Formats: sequence, C-alpha cells, structure tokens
Amino acid sequence: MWENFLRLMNDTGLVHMDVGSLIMIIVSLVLMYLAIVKEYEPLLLLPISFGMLLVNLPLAGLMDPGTTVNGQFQPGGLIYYLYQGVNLGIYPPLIFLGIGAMTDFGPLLANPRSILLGAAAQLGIFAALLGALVLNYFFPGLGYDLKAAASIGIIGGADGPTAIYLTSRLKPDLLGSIAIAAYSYMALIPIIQPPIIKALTTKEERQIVMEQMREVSKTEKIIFPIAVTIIGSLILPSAAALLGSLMFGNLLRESGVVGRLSKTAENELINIITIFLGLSVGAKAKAELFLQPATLGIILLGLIAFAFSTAGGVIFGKIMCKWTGGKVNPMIGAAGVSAVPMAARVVQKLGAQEKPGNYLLMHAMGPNVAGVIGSAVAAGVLLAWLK
Amino acid sequence: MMENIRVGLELMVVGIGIVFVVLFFLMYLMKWMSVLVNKWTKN
Repeated sequence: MWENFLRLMNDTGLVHMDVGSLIMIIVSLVLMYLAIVKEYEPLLLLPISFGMLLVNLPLAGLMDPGTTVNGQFQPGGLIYYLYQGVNLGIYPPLIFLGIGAMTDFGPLLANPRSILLGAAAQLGIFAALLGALVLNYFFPGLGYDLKAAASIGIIGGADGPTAIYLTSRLKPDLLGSIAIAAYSYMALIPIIQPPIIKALTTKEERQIVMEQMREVSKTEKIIFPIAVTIIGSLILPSAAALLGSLMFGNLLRESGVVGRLSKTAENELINIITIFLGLSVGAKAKAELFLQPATLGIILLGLIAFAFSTAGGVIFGKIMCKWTGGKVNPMIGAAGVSAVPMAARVVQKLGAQEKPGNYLLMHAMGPNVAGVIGSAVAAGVLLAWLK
Repeated sequence: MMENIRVGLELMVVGIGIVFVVLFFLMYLMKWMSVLVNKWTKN
C-alpha cells in the first residue's frame, strides 16, 4: 500500500516541480493580475498568461506532441493542437480579418498623405532590429541572429498579430517572450508615448487645429480594400496573407451586402481565434525557453522599438507640418505606430490638454490605420528577405 | 557577427525604403481614386 501511495505521489506534478516552472507560474500570475486588475490588454494578456500557467504545470503535457507507443498512437496535449494554428500561420491573418471588419479607413481616405506617417512610424522595427544585432555583438551569449533580430524588431510595429505571425515564421522559440513584450508595451502606450511626443514638439505645434475632413463616399470605401489587396500583394507577395485578410475583412464591412459575415468576423471569429491564439502563444513560454538572458534583451529592445517608432512618426509629422505650412499637427504622427485605437486616443488626449476643444481623434485615426498596413508591409519585407 | 550588423543596416535602409514606396504608391492610389470616383458620380 505504501508503495502504491509513493507511486501515486510520484505521478503528481508537485514532486516534479522545479524552480524554473515555479518562477514561470509566478510570472503568469503577475500577468493575470495586470490583465484583470490593471486591465493591460486583457483580451490577449489573460489567455496568454493562462496558457503560460498551463504549460508550466509539471506533467500536464498540454504542449506535448502525439507519440506512437507499441504501434498505438497516443494523442498529444490540447494546446499542442491549438498551437498548429500559430505554427501554420492561420490565426494572425484571421485576427486581421476581424480587425479589417472593425476598421473604418474613412479618415485615411479623407487625408491620403497621412498614410506616410504610418510608414515613418515603422522606423522602430528596423532600429530595434539593428539594436538587437549590435547588442548581440557585445553580448554574443544572447544568440540573436538576423531572424531573431527581425522578430524582436517587429515589436516596434505595435501590432500583436503581425509580431506573432512573423516570429512564428522566423524564430518560433522567441514567440512567448516577443508576444508578451509586444502586448505589454501596447498596453503601456499611454505612458510611453506622451513624453516622447512632448520632447519632440513645441507647444505651438501641439496646439495646431486641423481642418475638418471631407466626407468619403461609399464607392471609395469599397474600391480601397480591393485595390490595396491587388497592389500591395503584387508589390510584396509575402505580405499578401496579412494584407489580404485585413482588406477582405474591411470589404465585408464596407460592401454592406454581407452583414452577417461582417458581424461574425468582427465578433465571434475574432473572439474565438483570440482565445486560441492567446493560449497557444502563452504555451510557448516554457521555463527553459523564457528564463534566458535573451528575454531581458527582448524587453529592453521592445521599449526601444516603441520609442523609435513614435519618434519616427512625430518627426515625419513635423516635416509634414512644415511642408503644409502648419496645417498638420505633428502629434498625429505618433498614432502611426498602429495599436488601434490607443495611439490615436493618446494624441486626442494630448491635443485636448494643450488646447481644450481641439479634436484630433479622427485626424489621428488616419495614420493609426495606416500603421496597420505599414507594419504588415514591413513584416512582408522581413519575411521576403530572411525566409 | 559584424557581417550580421552590415546586413541589418542594409535591411534597415531597404526595408524602410520599401515601406515608404508601397505606402507612397497607396497614397496616390487613394488620391486618384477620389478624383475618379468624384468624376464618375458627377457624370
């Protein structure tokens, strides 16, 4: 009986708990706290942290692949199968489809030149990429090769699905830490961006009131997603999955003839995929992969990426301000980092603080949605170059 | 490793360049589209 008891005890996770797993469980609990109590990107941080918790419970085997024992197939863990959606690059484009169905490109169509702010705000992606390689030069133990550096850099796109898509293609081992860094910094945008915007602009620039935007016709809104898909995918085929899904979702919305599909894409579909994606990504944060010096580097470089992206957008905003004779408030450049709609809200809040009644939200939404296109294009460039 | 930094620098210049070119093209696409749609609806 004692032997049976010992055998039973040996089969429990308690006996197999190691320090690494314990630390990861504590980290997952901290992330859950941030998601639930502080409401930091809870939609993704909560599933990610729970996936992290599940995969670090000893012997649970939720991320184990199926095995064949004595000719008999033993199925793998639940999250292993859910993870195939990340592995095969299915979930991020589906999330983009939902985002497309939720996005109104009207502000961008009303002010086409604001798309360039979405391009300038991708600077952080490439700055962090270079930063990772330089950091690796001084600390070779970090093990950042070109693919790892590109995966780290994409954090600067401030676009979770794009970061997950690119990392799953280039460096899947870094997926957990990159996704957590990307979503954490996105949640911290209201803290990260204002000091950078204020440091790079003058009070007069921040007080600029922008003209009322023109009305955009339904025809333009319908042609836009079709044209962007054709042109974007022809120029950069590697961006077709993300760009095509985003634009298809938007066409569902703007066409006005498939209300049911549009509603499904922006509600049920995106919600289900968010749960699968979050759990699967969190499950890549196993102690042996996460508790590495490389993770610390990712956290540092992620912040640099966000800072450079914001700075890139604001500096280009200043150029546009000069170019248009002071008609553009340079702060809207900061919204070019994607992170829809948080970055645009930050600009609106700062604008209203500087000049009560100054309504910049719709002007900032143009670069904000352009940032989504910009980060998908940047991911396409990195994929085409490094795959 | 120095070689990686060189490639990274190249990637930075080319990458940001391509992002600008693609979005610059889309900017003109939007401008042309608005002109064409306006003409079309007036007719």
